[in-house]
Amino acid sequence: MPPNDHELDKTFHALADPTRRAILARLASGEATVNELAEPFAISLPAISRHLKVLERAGLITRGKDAQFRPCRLEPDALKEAYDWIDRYREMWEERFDRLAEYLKELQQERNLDDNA
Amino acid sequence: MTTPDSRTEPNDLGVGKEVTIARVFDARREVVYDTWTDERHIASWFGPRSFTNPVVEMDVRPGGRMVIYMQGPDGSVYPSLGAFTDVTPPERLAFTSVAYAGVGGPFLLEDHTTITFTERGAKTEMTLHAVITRSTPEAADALAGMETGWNESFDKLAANLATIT
Repeated sequence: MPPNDHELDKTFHALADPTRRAILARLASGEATVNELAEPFAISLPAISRHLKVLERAGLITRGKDAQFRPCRLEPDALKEAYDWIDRYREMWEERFDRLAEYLKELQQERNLDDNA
Repeated sequence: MTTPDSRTEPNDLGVGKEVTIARVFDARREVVYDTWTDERHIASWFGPRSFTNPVVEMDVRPGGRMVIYMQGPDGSVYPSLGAFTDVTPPERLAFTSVAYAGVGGPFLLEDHTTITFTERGAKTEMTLHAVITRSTPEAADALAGMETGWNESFDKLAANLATIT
């Protein structure tokens, strides 16, 4: 099912923060607890928890049921939706660049013909 | 000073609401710059390959309007309305733009685009940095639809070629 506008905005909002992206990058190599995630950062546990809540609401991570540790897990599908979206946008511009390169070649050829005439 | 070689990904995971593309074109900087500011030129290359641009209006000055109607091979029109925010010939152009699905159709996305033109000998490096400021998931479908339109017209071309040879 395609994500709705709201979900996609939440995903991009979650991805807009460097700490949250670093957390996701860490989770890409496997599950981790809040303490493990907090280790490389010079910020408090509550701050990390707030970041995790944003990621969870965006569907980018899920958290285990274990009341004490609640390990975090990356949910790659939400990330893929966002990636696919931006990828299409990039392709649109890449194609315009291709077309512009061809057009410039035509312009140069016309100019050369004029010069030789 | 721009650093066109730094293709800065917005983050480690390669996901962000912005896109940077750099490419070297075999033409002088003034020529490449003109392809963005001359209505006749824009009409010749903007949009997917099988598309035409029946309406192009460019008032190239800060605050000036920019109107482009792209039309697909199936006749569907994608209007894009914008305004220039930076006009520094022949180095830089920036504009905001809002794309719609059809004339009077629903809003698709809003972006802010900065184009930088850097001399590379007789060639020109063009760097595009686009930030999507508002968007809808439908925009992805529309972009995909444009691509499909392009593939379809290629199929048609291939079919025509097959009958000729």
